[in-house]
Amino acid sequence: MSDTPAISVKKVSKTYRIYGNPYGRIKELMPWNDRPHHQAVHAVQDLSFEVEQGQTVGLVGGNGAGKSTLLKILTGTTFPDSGSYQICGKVASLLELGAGFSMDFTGRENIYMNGAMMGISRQEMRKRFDEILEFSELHEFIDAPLRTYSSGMICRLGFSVAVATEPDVLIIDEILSVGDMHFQSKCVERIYDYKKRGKTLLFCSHSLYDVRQICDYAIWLDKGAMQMKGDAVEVTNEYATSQTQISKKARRSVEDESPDLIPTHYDDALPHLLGATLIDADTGEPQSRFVPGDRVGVRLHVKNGTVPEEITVGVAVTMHDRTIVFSASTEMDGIPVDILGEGYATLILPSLLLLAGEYVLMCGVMDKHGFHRYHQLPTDQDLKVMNSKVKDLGVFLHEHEWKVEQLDEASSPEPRQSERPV
Amino acid sequence: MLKHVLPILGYPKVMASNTEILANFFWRDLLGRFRGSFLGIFWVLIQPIFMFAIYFFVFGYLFAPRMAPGAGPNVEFALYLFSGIIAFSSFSESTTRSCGVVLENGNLVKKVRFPCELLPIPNVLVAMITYLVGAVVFLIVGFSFGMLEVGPHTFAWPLVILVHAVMSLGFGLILACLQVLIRDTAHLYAIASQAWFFLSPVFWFPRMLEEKLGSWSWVLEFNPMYPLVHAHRQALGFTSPNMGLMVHYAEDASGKPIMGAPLESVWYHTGIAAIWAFFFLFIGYSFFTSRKNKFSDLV
Repeated sequence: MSDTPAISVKKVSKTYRIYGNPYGRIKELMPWNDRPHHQAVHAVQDLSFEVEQGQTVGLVGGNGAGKSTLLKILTGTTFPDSGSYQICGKVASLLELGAGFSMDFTGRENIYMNGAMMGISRQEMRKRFDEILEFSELHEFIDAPLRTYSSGMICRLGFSVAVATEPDVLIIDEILSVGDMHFQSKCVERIYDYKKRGKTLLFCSHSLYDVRQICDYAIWLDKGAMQMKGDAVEVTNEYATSQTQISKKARRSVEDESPDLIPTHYDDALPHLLGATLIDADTGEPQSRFVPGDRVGVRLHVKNGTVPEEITVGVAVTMHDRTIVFSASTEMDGIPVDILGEGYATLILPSLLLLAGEYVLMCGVMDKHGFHRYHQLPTDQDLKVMNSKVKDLGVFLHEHEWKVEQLDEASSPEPRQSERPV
Repeated sequence: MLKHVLPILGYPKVMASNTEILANFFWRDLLGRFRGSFLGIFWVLIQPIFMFAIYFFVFGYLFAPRMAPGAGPNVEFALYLFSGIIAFSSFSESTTRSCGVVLENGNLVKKVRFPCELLPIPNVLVAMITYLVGAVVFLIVGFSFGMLEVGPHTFAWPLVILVHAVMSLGFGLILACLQVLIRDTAHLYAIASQAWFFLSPVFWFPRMLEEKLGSWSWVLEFNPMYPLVHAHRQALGFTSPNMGLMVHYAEDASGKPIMGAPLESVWYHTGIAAIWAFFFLFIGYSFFTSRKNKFSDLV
């Protein structure tokens, strides 16, 4: 079983017919009909790929790229027009949290009903009930009807039931933003745990950050066709580049389309930032005006949660249009942040390479995987890089050199080289 | 032929392997209707009792003199009426609900993988409960007035109920599938079921048919509910020949109508109804399962 792919998709295509009005459908059925009365939407076109067992694969692509259609096909709720697919093992699908819940019934009743829909008997469900309840943390509401729940609570219940079914292949459609921050981090923990046990995960998200953090591989779909597949970081980078180009035309940034959740409010009991200050790295004094070449520090005042946990911190330097100029995190660099209670974590930029302009520094504190963001905060003051003697244009002072060559055969002097120290 | 008939044998199998889902849907449907109300499940009991009280008052008491001049309250007609109504309304309740069942559960059909041919079944079961409560009211009143008899026909009752359920399910499957393809079905069926109600022997008796239509009465007898409603009445023990209510049209050897010929037996009516029922189930199941893969795209 271990050498067969967990998911194998062969030349799958799916076309939706969009009818302007109900008569179009009838007209097409008539024998004398000679032209189509619908608009064909090719949701998925001739798609082939394989997912090995234990792989975590992310699906990225714009709205209407066919991600959800593909997940629906693999779930088995809709059927491809041509092609075939095979899934090895037990599948659980989270196309929507709480699909199939009845609002008039209590949380307890809904847990059993949902279990039955996923093919789990009542006895089996009874064994897992405590675990589900424990995970959802809805103890005091479990016997209240679902319509009295907040939408976040319904999501929590839905996720808790779904993950309790222990599938071999888990298909998730854009649902990681469930519940409050505390619950989100629990969900992420669950997914990592699931990954660790060698189970297969197919996951679709607009958050490239999530895809990069969770997935090993990624598939980029565009207009139903495979644009690229491969390493998650490579694919998401390519995708992000194409999106930036599109958004330049549309005068919209990637973030506008997928508003990332920025938790500027925070929970006292969880890890958070008490402050973030720009400092002169040599003196340790707060300072916000620098010139290129200065030694700059970003000091994060971190407070760990009441139950201390392993955390990571990161800083992203962005332009005012939210383009990230560069970023660094302790997770990427492999630096442990072992702060119990309060402490400082300082990022040092030995020689500032940014050119004149104003930059926003977004600082964040995250879980140990660098995935779940507990709290994000810009520095007290924006980073202002003042005009220096450097004449270069742009945002960045790149290390560079020139090479000039004469192509004329008549006179071929030695190629001249110049190198300018930074 | 066999190739087309055999797949239907898979239906009981699907039901058997998904009893958990069916039970959940059943309770959801039954309890869901009364959730949040003070009397809760008791509404299932209260509704038929009040309905019967009203029919008894209006048709047994107010209109009684017109039906049988000089007589007092016509309990017999009220019972005749009520037995027809509980049978027909149970059928129309479950079929009307089945009509929208795929669309109402659109979220499930789209997002969760499960055999959706199960969806109309809970409606049928809930409608059977309403029927049974009505039948109990009917039996209590009928026996206390001494109008019902226990006899061999009593053994036909479970069979009649089964045929009734199969017919409701088969017809419900057809409607459920049609409603997904053509959204006008529900509106059309709302009108059609009203007409069907009055075209079935609920308010009128077979003798009236033959008086008005003569040899054309087969037109109304060619109605799946005609044998079923009669079978329900007979199985419940309502065999009183008084007033000629239960006289059925029949011919002698020369083709002349015989007045007052006895009604065909309950077994005959049940048999005809069963043929209709399995015909509907076959059509409904084939139609539904052949289209169900498209449902999630059409809902």
